[in-house]
Amino acid sequence: MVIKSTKTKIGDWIIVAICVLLIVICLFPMLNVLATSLSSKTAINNRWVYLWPVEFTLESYTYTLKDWSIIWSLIYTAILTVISTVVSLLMTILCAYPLTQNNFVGRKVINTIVIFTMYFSAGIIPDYINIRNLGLLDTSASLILPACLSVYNMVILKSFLKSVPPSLQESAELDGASHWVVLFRIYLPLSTSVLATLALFYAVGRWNGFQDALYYISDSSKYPIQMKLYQIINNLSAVDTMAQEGVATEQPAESMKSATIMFATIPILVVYPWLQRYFITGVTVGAVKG
Amino acid sequence: MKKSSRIMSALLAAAMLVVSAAGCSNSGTETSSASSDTATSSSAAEGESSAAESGASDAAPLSGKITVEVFDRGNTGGSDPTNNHWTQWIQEKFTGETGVEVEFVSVPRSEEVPRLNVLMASNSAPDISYTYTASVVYNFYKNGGLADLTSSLANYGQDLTEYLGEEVLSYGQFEPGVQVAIPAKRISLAKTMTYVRKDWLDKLGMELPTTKEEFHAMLTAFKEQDPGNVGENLIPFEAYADATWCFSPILDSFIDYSADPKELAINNPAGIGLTLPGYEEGVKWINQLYNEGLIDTQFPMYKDNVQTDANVSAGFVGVYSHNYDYPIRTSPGIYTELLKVVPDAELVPIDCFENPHMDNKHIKQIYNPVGLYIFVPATSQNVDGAIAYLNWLSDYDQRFYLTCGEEGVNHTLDENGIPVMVSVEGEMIMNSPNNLDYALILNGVDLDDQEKNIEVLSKSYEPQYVDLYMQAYDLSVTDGLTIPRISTPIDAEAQYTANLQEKAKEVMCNAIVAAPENFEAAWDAGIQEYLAAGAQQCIDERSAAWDAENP
Repeated sequence: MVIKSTKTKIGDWIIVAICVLLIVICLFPMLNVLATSLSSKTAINNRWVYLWPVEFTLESYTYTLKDWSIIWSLIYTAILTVISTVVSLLMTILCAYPLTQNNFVGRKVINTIVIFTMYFSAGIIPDYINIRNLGLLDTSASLILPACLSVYNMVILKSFLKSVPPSLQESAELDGASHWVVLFRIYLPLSTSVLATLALFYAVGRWNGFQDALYYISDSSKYPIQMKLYQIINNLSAVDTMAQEGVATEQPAESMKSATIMFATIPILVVYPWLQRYFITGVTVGAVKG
Repeated sequence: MKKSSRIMSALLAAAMLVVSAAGCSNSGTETSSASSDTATSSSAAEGESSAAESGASDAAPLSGKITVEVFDRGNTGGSDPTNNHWTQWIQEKFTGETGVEVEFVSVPRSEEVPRLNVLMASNSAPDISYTYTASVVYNFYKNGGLADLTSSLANYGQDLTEYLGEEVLSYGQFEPGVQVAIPAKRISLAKTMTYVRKDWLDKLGMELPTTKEEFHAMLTAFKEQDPGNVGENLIPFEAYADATWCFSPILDSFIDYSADPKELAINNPAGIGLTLPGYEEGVKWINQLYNEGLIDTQFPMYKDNVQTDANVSAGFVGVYSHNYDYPIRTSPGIYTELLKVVPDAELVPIDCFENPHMDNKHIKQIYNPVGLYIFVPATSQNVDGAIAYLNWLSDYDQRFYLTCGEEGVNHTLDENGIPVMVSVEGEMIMNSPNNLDYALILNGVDLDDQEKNIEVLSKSYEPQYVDLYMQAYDLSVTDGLTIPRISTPIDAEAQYTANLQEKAKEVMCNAIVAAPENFEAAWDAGIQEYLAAGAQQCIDERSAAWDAENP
């Protein structure tokens, strides 16, 4: 008995050690960025900054805050995320529910077609031409509509809805309920946890996404925060700038870049602990068949 | 039940096909209405503009509309690149003079090539599009995406042709006589320069080196005597992974520029000169320096300049090669940082690498006299209007106003009449230095006098560095030359350039860090790999192109 518990302890310690290692690997770059954003330019240029701010200063934050476009981008992205999540959830629900109904004509065909799009897509150019022809270029709608239904999420919801006992629906229909009533009064109240998870997936996806903005949006007031960040961080090297432009173009300082990264990351970091449990349950909820 | 559901499924599938086919045909008519709403379409359905374009006779009046690309640099506090004081001024004046409307389309600077590719592929690129990457323009040309500008240039571009001149314009002709791109004139031709810590030399009682021997002696003295009392962090010569760049001042003195022009031209694919005559000798000399401990042993690890800049500003480094103005650029401002840490430090540009093949002159490579590549997509409806716009830009008044701005606001004139730029915030802010993004046909300020132009450039640096700048520029272009060019686009280059650049850096690093007795083997092996990675193909194609151009 004594031997068994020792063995378990060693196993536990190994797991703990690995987890600590992973935490450190994930945490250190973030701490470095945080420290860089709070350090003076001299300290950064001389590479004195590792995990702790050197020559503590808030100047990069005050400088960033003076740039109204970054703050606007944050606000805009927040609003966009909320609207996008609501639209996406609605679409997902309306797509998943009919596919769970056995008497839906052509269910199998539609199911196959929908799943097909999960694996194959036309590519960037056809997408761009499509959006352009629909007149959605340079509009907020192009950031909401094309990505509003994620088939993967829809499948999760569908699996969950299928797991609800059909007797609930049958009895409701016996009482004269239409599909709308069944959906909104019976199924949805039961699936709040799944819906919360999907909302989280959609929200995080929209917050972090920028590739669609990269191609569809020209008006800088409609840049999501990640696109703004990308613009600031992704600069040509000094060699390339000189080779191409022949003039000394200004490049944002490291501290500015770090401050902007913190700006873009802190909202999600703050929100995440509250929603963490939904992520964990959500990842597994679609895995159980039936 | 089963049979009927199968029939229903089939009917449903058919119905979906019919609906999507109907949707496709509708989109044809939707395109014109959708495109007139979006700013990114160049297919403006204006009857007059197509008449002006298809007519193309001398007297055809210009009309219609053109769309012009503009970079969005996302500067803190910058103005909207498509609608600010400068765009309004351009629109007012140009439309007033010619009747052609102008609309600006913004493209993020950091994504200019991918975005341009998407715009061109979907036939919605602006009438005036541009890029710095020549290979991108070659690709468009090969795929028939560029409009032929020759006749428009003859009819509407006389001032432009005169301003740019034969040489600059030749860079935009991939077949002799057929103009498909308008290159911008590049004002600053200086490339690289080597800076040395003069205060260390003073402490050692040594003069600035004037020959390679003296340079070698200086590095050895730095290493052995450590005049700056740096200790174990001492780095006599700082280098970085981009070895073809950071050693180029040295290598320029070994390359045999007096060789047959064809030899030089074909061995320079995408500007990488590993197979140029004399290059190997240069790398061998650097290998010798490395094995004597005179070069930073970590240099192949420095993929970017962050660590090397930090080393220089911390005062550890004796000699450093980079862009000719690198230490005095205001951001990152290495020289300024260095002075904070070591108040007595003095960085001075040196020019001491004599080339025995060229009468011991201090040969350096300088930039080709072109900057931006401006082109008009083949789908454009208003090629004449586009050329007229560029022509209008080349006029001295327009050039001056756009690049220097309003007197008293964006610049002040000093006693010699040289404009000194003043940084402005608010409405009159210039999003790019000297409104590079609007002036288009030139990179810099052109007062039609090269000496004055360089003076203007010097004023854009902090006052205490102006003289240093002039010195560095002079040294960088004295005895400067460019390797003979091949105008026909090389397909292999378009394909392999990125790969070859990385490979070349690798080959250089490996050869330099090898032990002296292994140098030959390392270099030969490296060159074999380099050639196999696509360089041989490039060289062969260049050879064929050269023969075709020079019968």
